Amino acid sequence: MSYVHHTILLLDDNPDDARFITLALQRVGVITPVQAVVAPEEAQRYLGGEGRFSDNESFPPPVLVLLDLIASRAGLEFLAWLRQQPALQRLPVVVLSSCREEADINRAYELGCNSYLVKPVSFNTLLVMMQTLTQYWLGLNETPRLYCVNQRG
Amino acid sequence: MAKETSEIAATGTSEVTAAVADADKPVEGALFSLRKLSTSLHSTLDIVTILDRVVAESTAIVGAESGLVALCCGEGIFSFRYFQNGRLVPVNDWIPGSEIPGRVIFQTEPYLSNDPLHDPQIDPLRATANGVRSVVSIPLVDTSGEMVGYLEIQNKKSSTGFTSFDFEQLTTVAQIAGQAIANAKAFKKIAQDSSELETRVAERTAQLQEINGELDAFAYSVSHDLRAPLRAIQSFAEILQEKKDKPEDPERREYLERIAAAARDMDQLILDLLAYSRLSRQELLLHTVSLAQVVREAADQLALAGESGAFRLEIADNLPQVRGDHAVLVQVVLNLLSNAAKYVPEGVTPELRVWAEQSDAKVRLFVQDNGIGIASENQERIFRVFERLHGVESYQGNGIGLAIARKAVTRLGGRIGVQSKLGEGSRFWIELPRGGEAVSG
Repeated sequence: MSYVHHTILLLDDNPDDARFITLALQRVGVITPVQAVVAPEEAQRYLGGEGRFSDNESFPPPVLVLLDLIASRAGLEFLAWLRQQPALQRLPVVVLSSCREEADINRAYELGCNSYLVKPVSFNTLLVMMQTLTQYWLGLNETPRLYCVNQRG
Repeated sequence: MAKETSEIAATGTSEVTAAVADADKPVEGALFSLRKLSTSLHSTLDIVTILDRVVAESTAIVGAESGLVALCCGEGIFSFRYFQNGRLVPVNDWIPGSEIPGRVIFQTEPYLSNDPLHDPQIDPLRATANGVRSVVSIPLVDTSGEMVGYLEIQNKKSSTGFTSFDFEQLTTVAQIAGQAIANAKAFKKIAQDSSELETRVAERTAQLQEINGELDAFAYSVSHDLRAPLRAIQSFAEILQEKKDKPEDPERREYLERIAAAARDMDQLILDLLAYSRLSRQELLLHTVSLAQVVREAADQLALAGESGAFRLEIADNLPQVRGDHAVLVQVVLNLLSNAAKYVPEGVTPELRVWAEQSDAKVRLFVQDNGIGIASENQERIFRVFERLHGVESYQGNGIGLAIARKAVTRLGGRIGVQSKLGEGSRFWIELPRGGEAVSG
């Protein structure tokens, strides 16, 4: 199975992790380039099609956001912001955190994440995780219509 | 008791009407009054209430006009309660001297006098001045023989003297009252002790909560920051294993470098965690320390580490002496300098300036940089352990340096802070007690 029109936006401030996740997604058939950003502000610009992300062809609207909680849990603030945007509030968000803290998990769901996964230490385990994730979120799951698609399309 | 009473009574006055009066007083009634008083005194632990009841009941039992009760300790008599005709009358504090109450208190012996004007034990001038016609003075003693107070029952108008039966009753009242006061005092002490204990428990709880918070942060760091390099090491190793048939793949070398770098990060993080935890426990002996020497050593270490690349550092002359620990302060200043040299915009050479200001008792050391600055909402956060504002992508570091600096300065009895604006550099400061000859060693 390969996914050719499925842009995933990845927000992770750890370059190694971003690299592993991107590599794993490619290996399990995500042919559309994974869009990796390291800061919440950058992700906001991407979603708004601002600055260097204004080219709709190179930076298409994502069908899924993979969100690391990043330093000082700024990822949670980004999630809260996302859910307040009328154009983006339906966008599926899967948290991909290195942390299994109950408080973080609960907070992430309160703020409206659709799933919460913990990064495995092993790359092979990550491959299995990404395979299941793509099968479910890009294959089985029905994606909502986003207002931003209309605005930008 | 009876023998003693009669002896004392005999020293009082010549006209003892005791034998006549005894027959008039119903013993059952007296016993009933005493039992009632005993119950009443032991039903409260408030000392003033006890004193009021003692004096009110004592005057009532013997039919006297006025009575006075007070507590006493080594320094004298206090907490006067003076009742006249059933009403509380204000009295000034008074120090017992050579008169009857003084003698009673110092010898802890009860005394009865039905003719104070002609009593050889009583100063006739004082007796005339006070107009007392008959008096019973009794020390209040607890069961261990310790004197806790003083009771005096007087008649000023009535010529009826006190009988030996009155005297005996009042002696019994004094015994009951002495014990009740001792109980109330013991209770008050226990209540005070327990409130001190509560304060100590509250202080200790606050300390434990702080430690708990640090432990939480530690657990978070172990699960988050320590696992990140571990994940990198294991994942790169797994990808490398797949490439074992392609020894020429250029990515192999890069992956190996990443593995080594991740291991280094992890080692640094473990060292910093240990340094932080050691600072919390370590006994610090405070000496007079030369800041000039501290800053020079820290600057040397920063240059030697080489991680910060090129930087310019300007150190003010005549840095003063402070009270602290030399090695710990070198660590603090090194952390401040390396923090200052780290957070600069790309392509900008860090320019650091170090100087100090003195007041009467304090010294403030400043470290100024030309870095990216810190938004005011983050200025408190940066000192917390494991907080890092920027992704590893943009700036290296694990976020413990400033937390170590704060912990160290706090342990040295000082303070740490920062003045900064985004984009305008930061000015970190530490404040320490002034050092000098007077406080050396």
